[in-house]
Amino acid sequence: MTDPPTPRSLDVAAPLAIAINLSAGGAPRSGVDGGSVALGGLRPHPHAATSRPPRQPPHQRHAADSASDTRPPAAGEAGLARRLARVLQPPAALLRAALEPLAWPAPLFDYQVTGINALLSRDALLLADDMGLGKTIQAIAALRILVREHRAESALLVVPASLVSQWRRELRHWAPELTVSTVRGPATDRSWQWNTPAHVHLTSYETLRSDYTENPRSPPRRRVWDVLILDEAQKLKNRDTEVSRKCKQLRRRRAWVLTGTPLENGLDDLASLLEAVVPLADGETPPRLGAGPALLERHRSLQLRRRKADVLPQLPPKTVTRIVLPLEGPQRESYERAERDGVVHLRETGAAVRIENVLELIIRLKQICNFCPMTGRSVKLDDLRERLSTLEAEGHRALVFSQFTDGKYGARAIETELRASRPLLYTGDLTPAERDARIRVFKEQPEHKVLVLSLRAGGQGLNLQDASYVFHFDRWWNPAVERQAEDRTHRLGQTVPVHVYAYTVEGTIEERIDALLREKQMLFDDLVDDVSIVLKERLSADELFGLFGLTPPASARSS
Amino acid sequence: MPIPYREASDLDALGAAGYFKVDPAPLVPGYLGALFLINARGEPIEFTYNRIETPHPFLWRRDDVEQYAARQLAISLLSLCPKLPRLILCLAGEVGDSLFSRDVRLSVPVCRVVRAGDPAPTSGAAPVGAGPEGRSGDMAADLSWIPAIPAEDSLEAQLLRELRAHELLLEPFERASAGLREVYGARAQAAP
Repeated sequence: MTDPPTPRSLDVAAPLAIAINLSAGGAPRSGVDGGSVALGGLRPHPHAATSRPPRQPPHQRHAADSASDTRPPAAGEAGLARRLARVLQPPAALLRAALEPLAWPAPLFDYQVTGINALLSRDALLLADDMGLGKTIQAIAALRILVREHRAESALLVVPASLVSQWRRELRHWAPELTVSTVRGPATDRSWQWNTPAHVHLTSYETLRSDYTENPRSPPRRRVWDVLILDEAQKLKNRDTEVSRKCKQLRRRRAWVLTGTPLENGLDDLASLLEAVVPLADGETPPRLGAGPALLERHRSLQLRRRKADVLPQLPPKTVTRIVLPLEGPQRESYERAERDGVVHLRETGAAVRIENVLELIIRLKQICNFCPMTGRSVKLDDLRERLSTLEAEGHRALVFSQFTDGKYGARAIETELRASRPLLYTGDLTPAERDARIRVFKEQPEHKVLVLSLRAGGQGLNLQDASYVFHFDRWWNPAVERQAEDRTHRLGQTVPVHVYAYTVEGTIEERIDALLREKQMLFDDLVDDVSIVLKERLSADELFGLFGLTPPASARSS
Repeated sequence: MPIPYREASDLDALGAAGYFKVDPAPLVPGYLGALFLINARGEPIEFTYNRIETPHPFLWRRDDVEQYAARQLAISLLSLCPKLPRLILCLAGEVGDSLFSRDVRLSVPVCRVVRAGDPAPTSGAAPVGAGPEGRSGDMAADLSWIPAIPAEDSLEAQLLRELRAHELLLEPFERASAGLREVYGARAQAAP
C-alpha cells in the first residue's frame, strides 16, 4: 500500500485538476482532482462576461487578492467555483435572521422578515404595507438575499425622481455589497449608466419613460430583469399614461410593486396597478385586467398589507386635529370679493361656462384662504406662528405642507414669513442635489425648526422622523395623499407622538368642499389643482356649480 | 457611484472554523472528503476537496478502509488547504476518535460533534455538554474535544459559541456534502 502524494494547493487562479494517482491494485488511491477553492473572492458577478472587470467589495476582493497565483482562472474552474460559491452559501433562514452573516445594520422586525419571505417566495407581490413600515427595507433585504443566493443578478428599481437619492442611501446602508448604477441626468450620462455593470439599476419613472423607446435595444428593454421593483407604484394607477404602459412592458422574472395606497380612487386604479404585478417573459404582453370578482380575487392573492396598529403597536400615536379658523378683516373682504366676482363671471359666461372655469375659481379662493392678496396677511399663518413658538420652546420641530409652491400663496410665502424659525424649503423646482442637501441639513442641524414642503414634492417617501408635528397649511382633497405626507414623520424610528394639524377656514370654499366630500366619502384625484379631467369624474357638474349656488348649463352637464 | 464597503467586525478576529466531512463516493467505490472553512457568521471562506478510491473492497475490512480513507483524506486536505482554521469540527459518526488523537496530530483543537445516533466519544476525548447557549437546532449535538477543551476565554471557545449561536454546529456539514456533490456529482454525470 502506498500513501498518496501530497496534493498541491489550488485556488481559483490555478489549474483545476490535480493528478494524485496512486499505484493501481488493491490499495486505495486518492482522487485525481482534489482542489481548494477560496470562496471569499468567488461571488459570481452578474456581468462577469463583459469586458469590464466586476467590482467587488473590499472584503470579498481581499480573499481573491490573497491568492498567490495571479493567473486568470480557466473557464471550467471559474464555473465550478461559481457553482460552489452558490451551494456553499449559508442557508436562507440564516440569511434572513437578524443575526449575522448579512449583518443587517438594524434588527429586522418580525413582520419585516415575513414580508421579506413573501418577496423571496413569490414571483410577484404587491407590498402594500402602511406607510412608514419599511417597505423599502424589506425590498432591499429581499433583493440582497436573492443576490447572495445567486437567484438574481440584475434588478431594475424605478422610483419617483424625488426618492432616487434616498433609495441610494438605503441601498448603501442595507445592502452595502450590492453595486448600484443610478441612471439619471443627460442622455449621454444615462447611456453609460445603463451599461454600467451593477446588481441594481436605479432610475426614476420619468427617466424610464424617456429611455424605454420603440427600439428593442433601448437599455431598459433589451434585457430580462431578474427583479423589477416599482416604488410608490400608485403612479401606475392610470393605465393610459405612457409611463404606466412602459413599466408594465418591462420584461422581468419577478415583479415587486410597492405602495402604501393601492386603492386611491377606484377599481380601475387597482386593476392598472395589478397589471404590473406579474412576471413578464420575452414575447409576452402585459395582462389587461377589468373590474369584477376576478380582479378582487387577484388582488387578495397578490397583496401583502399590514397596518401600523397591527404590527407596530409600540409606534407612538398620531393625533389629527382639524383647526377651523375664521376669516377676518381684509382677507375676508378679499375672499368675498373674489367669490362674488367669480360667481358673477360664471353667470355672465352663460351657456359657454365650463367646469374648468369653476375649478379655476376654486383654486383662486383657496389661495386667498392662505394669504390675503392685498395685505399678505394670513389668519392661518398667525395661528401657525403662534403654535410654532410654543413648540420650538419645547424643543419640537415641524413640517408644514402646502399644495402651492409660489411666493405669494404657497410654500415660499410660508418660508419667508416663518424666517424666525430658520425654515428650510423643499419644493419640486429644486434640483435633486438641492433636495438632498435640504433634507440632510434639516436632519443634521436642529436649529432649523421647520421644513416647509410642497405636498407633491415632499409628500412621498421621505423619512423625516426628526419632526413630530405636521401642519397642513391648506387642504389636499385626497385623504390618502394627506396621510402619505403625515407619514413622513409617523413612521419607523419615530419615538414620540405625532400631532397633525389641518387648517380649514370657516365659511369658505375649503369648508364647503370638505363637507361635500365627507358626505359623499369620495376621493379626489391628486391632480385636482391641475384642473384634471379626473376631477370632473369625481364631482358632478351639479355638485361643482352647486358650491357657488349655481345651476350648470346643459353644455357643462354634458362636458 | 458609491463604493461599497463593509466595516470589519469583531467576529472576523475569531478566524475560521473548518468542517471536515467524509462522504461515500458515488458510482465508484471510494470516499469524498472536504475541509470547509467558514467564518463565525457562517460565510464560506475556503473549500478544499479530494477523493480517494477504494477498489477491490473485498480485500478490506470495512472499518479499516473507512479509517484509512479518512486518514488519507484528512492528510491531503490539511496539506492542501491554504488557510489555517482556528478549530476543526468533524462528525463522530464519520471520524473515529483515533484519527485526530493518534493518527494525525494537529496544532489546532478538534471538536467531534456527536449527533443523535452517532457513536459516543471514547477515550482520549474530552466531552463537553451542549451548554445553556445551545439552540434548538443544535441541542441534539454533543461535543468532544481533542486534545482538550479550550479555555473559556480562548478564541476557539468564543468561535464555537458564535457558531452555536448561529446554529452552525451541524449545518455546514450539509453544505460541505452539497459542495462535494457539486464537484464530483457533476463530473460523474459529465463523464462519458
